[in-house]
Amino acid sequence: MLLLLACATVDPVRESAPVVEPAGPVLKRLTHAQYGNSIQSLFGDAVVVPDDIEPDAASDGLLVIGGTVNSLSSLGVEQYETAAFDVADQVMASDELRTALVSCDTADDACSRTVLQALGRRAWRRPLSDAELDRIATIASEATATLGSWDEGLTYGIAALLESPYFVYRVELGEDDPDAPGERRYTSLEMSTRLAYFLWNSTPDEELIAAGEAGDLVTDAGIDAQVDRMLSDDRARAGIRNFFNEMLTLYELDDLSKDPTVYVHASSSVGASAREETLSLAEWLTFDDDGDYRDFFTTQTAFLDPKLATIYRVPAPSMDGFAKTTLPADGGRRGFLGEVSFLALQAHPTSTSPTRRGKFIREVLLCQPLSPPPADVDTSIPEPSDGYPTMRDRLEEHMSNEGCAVCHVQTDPIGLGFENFDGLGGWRDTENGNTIDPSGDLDGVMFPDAWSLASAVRANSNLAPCFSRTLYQYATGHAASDAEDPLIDWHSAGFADSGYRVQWLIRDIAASSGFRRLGEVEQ
Amino acid sequence: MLTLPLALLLACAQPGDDTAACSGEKTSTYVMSTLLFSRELDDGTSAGFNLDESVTDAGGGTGCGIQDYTDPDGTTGIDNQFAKVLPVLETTEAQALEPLIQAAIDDGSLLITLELGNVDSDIATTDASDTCVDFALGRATGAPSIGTDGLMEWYQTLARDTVSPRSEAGHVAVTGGRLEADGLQVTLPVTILGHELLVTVLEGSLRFEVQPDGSLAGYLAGGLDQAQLIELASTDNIDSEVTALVSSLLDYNVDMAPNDYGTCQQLSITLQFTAIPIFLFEG
Repeated sequence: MLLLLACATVDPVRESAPVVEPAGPVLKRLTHAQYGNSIQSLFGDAVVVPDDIEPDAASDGLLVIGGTVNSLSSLGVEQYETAAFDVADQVMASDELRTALVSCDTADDACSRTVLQALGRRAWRRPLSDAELDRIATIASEATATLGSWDEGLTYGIAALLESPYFVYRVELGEDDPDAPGERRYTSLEMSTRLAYFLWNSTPDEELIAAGEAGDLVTDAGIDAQVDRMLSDDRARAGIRNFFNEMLTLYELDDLSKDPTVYVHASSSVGASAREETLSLAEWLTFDDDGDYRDFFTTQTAFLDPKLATIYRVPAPSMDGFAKTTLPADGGRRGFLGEVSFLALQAHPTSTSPTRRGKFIREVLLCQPLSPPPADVDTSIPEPSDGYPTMRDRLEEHMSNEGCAVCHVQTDPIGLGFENFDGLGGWRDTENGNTIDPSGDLDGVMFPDAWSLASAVRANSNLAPCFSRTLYQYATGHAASDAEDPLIDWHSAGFADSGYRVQWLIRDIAASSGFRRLGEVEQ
Repeated sequence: MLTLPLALLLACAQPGDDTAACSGEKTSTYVMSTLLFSRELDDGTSAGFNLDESVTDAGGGTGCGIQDYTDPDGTTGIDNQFAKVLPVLETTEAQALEPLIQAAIDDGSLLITLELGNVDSDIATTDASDTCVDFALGRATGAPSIGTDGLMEWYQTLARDTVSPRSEAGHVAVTGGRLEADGLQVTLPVTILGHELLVTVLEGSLRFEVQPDGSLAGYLAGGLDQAQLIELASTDNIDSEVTALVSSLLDYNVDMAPNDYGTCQQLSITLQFTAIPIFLFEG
């Protein structure tokens, strides 16, 4: 009996990962954040990263995937060139930055070559070939001769490295796997890049690139060792923040616009504050609490600044900046779905939008994509009136149209659960003098209000698998194919067994064949 | 000088005689978001308090013979002689008095808090009742957050002013969303036009009613010390004609705190306020 009890606490042996057909390689353009992080990793945080470069555009819900499918405009090429010279000029104009970069003290071609070789290895995330180094060094040498200044010549060399496709794009073509004939894997150096952008959203540091050069990153032990090191580094916190920023489209908060005549709390700073609140919670849940991902939706822990505390009608935990606090149990608000970042972003400038809020939960949190409305359908809803005083009334009228109801029935019963929160995320009991009914249902689970809806989302069987899929796609940089579904399901099952710990899932995906192997290069 | 009447009323009463706390566990805190003078209305009435607990007719034996007002609700004996002084003051450089007061509130230099402690249940309803509430006046610091409507945002957090005296008025009752407190004894250091002054108010009274939207609307009254007012009006940067005018006005209107010779030494004043719910940061 005792033996049986003891055995019951032992984790079951995990089944082997299913073998799936790996996705082919994709060329990934660095996102804005990756570009900026990489520049500062190369030269230091003092460099002001040029902001005027080709904008990011999401695909399949993620900016990193958008970077693989969206082409670069001719203007974008010029912008990268301008940005490269901007950075190079800053570095050479700063005694501190120049000293950190220029390791030799002879202003000649040999020194230029030494500097550019070292910088190129970091910038291109691999050693430059002799021919590549010759070409870059020649640019610096000729510019020195033409301009009569070694520093200006080196500036041209640095800019050449930074405007190169090998810096702006991640080129990961893989190699034949000597241990598995007929199969391909990412090279050890390519794995250093993949790990760096997955975990840190930045370029590999010296230790990681050295591990790549040593061939360590094609082994389980080598990857595990680096993932352990990387997760204990603060850059991993920045990495997970970037992932949540992309998954939840929090970057759209930069353009949050609310009608100031409707929302007295509206201000230009609310969007940035709201994003910081959500990212602080994600970072805390992942690293400090190392807790259950599903708690992201039901926790009463929050990170607030005075402005958000005012909107939430709770005491500010700090008079200056953000601090951790606990939301009251009787306040009706908890978790990410009670935050301004969700409630304000998934709303209109002058009103709430149960449809947008419900659609976000369906598509982003539960991975249940909805079809766009048919082109000939009138998507407008009735204006508030005596007959339709509340949003619920107006949407019910809208759903009397069968063409509208097909989709709205999937979104509105969820989104109406948030009607106690106005279009900025402030609490309200009434709308146009009528008491709000925030009840609804999510896939047959009835809920009386947003507090209970958070529990329903947490318990939804699609929540954790959707998160696993999104993180997998973020890591690999491509939209997963149907062929990869068994592997994602396997990761998801492990995620559940781990107690839904995000760090565990990061490790699992970093070690995954889906992250390390690739299909044939299309010619 | 212009902000003196307000500053007087920021200060603190002595703790109530009954030091045992009320039994409730909740705290409700408000900050005065607007402050106006209670003026004489067209019908000759003026809202306020019967501070000296007597009804004085012109030339009568109490209140130094200065005729009291009648409140719009019919209450007689209202002491608010500042309502008579104000129209005259407003013909001088003091005409922007109320905008200056509001500016001082909005920039955080005049944040008067109303703190209701040991409350049984939600006080912010028009029918709220609680037989025992610990009431205090205090001050807060910080730059208030102003909403897009130009008004202070509700439920913002302000820092408790731990330097300025805080008045614990003791136990009071809330009945039908209405609270009254009196006996406020006020001593407060204030800085006015660069001058550090110690101002005292005797017999201060306050009342408010909870409004349907949860805010408070009420009155705060007390007596301004004549000698201090004259001292303030005599500072270097006050026009000498204004000084003379203030001195004259006070001579004819002081109506409270008679000395042993029957000469009144204070001018009664009533302020009309609205207050919004806030939180106090105690850190």
